Amino acid sequence: MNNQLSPVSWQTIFKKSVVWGIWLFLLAVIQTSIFSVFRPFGAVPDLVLASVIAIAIYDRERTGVIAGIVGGYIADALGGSGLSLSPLVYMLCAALFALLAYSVLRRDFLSWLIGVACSLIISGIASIICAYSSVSAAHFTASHIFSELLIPQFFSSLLIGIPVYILTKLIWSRFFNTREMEG
Amino acid sequence: MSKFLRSRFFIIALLIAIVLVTVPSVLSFMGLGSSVRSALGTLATPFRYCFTQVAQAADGFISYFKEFDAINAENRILKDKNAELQNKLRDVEAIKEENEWLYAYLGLKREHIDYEFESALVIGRESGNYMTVLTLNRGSMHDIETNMPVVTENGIVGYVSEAGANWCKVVTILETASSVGAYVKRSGELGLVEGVYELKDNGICQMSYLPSDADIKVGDIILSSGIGSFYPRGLVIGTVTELVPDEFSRSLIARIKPSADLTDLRRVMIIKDFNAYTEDVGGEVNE
Repeated sequence: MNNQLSPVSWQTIFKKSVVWGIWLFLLAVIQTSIFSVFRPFGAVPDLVLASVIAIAIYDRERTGVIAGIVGGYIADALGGSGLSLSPLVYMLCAALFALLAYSVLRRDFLSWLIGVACSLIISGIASIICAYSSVSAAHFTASHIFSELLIPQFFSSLLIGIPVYILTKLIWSRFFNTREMEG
Repeated sequence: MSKFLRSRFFIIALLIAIVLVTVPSVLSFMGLGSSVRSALGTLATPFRYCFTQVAQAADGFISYFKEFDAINAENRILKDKNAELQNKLRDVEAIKEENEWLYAYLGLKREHIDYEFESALVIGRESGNYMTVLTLNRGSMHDIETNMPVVTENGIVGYVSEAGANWCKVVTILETASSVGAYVKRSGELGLVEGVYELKDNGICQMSYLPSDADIKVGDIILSSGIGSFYPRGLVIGTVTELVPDEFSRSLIARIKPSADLTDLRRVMIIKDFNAYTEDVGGEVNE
């Protein structure tokens, strides 16, 4: 597979910043509003992470890394938690699965599914670390966090992440799927 | 892959991510807010408000269907309960009516302690060309015989004309087949109360054989005299509504409105037995 990146214009950078920025912001708002009322499996799905992985797989590692940082930061900002590793976790997951999609895996739904599942596990571990680091950690046990929070969020994110993946891919196809960007 | 991970872009991005994780966390632990987070929150608030309103509206809509079975079941229970309460209410009303009736009957019984009453319900009303006959739910099984008087707490209804095993027919005092020896309560003037075909539909009967100078006036109460008929003495027949001279003789006719409401009868009393006695105008009692 060709890992060479083509030169991108400032116009493209600006366009990607606006489109993905708005899209990730919108997902974060939906995640913290609609899905605070509707909770599949009793948990809030991580729509931002699902989209970041899709962006990374289709729009390559650089865009995925930036999307991970921005998406993670927005999700934390709107989520309300004090300590969170989301920008770092999202960024690293995006980089990893973008590189895998262009080397070992393929750029398709299955790769996304694997990417999101692994990212949710990594994100879950990070959440446990953050939970134990917070003041209210005395009220939680690892098994409680795992069974009551992480597992429901895992399945909730996979389920609701599918339409997010489809929409993200549609946006990418509409705005960024050109020879110039593929290189 | 390793080339990208060692690239300047990735290292800078990693540092930025670490800063973005560390600074807000430190600020949060120090109780200080982040202006960027605050700005993002402010920007997101109207969107979150709109989305939350939509979500809550949809949640309410969905809850309707989710709770439909429960609401349906509760509705069925409430319907059953309502039907049960309606039945109880009807029973209460029936009991209340019976209570009122028995209270009135008790008054009647107190006035005539020698009477033996049998309570009966009006179960039918047959109107032929010439006669309206009531059907009651008591008969020979209840020791009911023909010619027994039938009364309500207000006054005379009629007499038993025919008795079956568990039914009997009653001819009212409005019918031409009925005649009751009567007297004016106030003055003692004697007469005969009979049914008149022409007046029957108006609910009126008439008292005949009154002398033209009889002491009787409109509003006088007419009682049964016990003379020449099977009604005991002292039962209320009705009230005088009109006085007209008899066109065929030099006597007076009094139009009588029966005290018993013969149009809306539901419960009556059949007098099965009484100490029959007559009393002449002079006050002598004969048994």
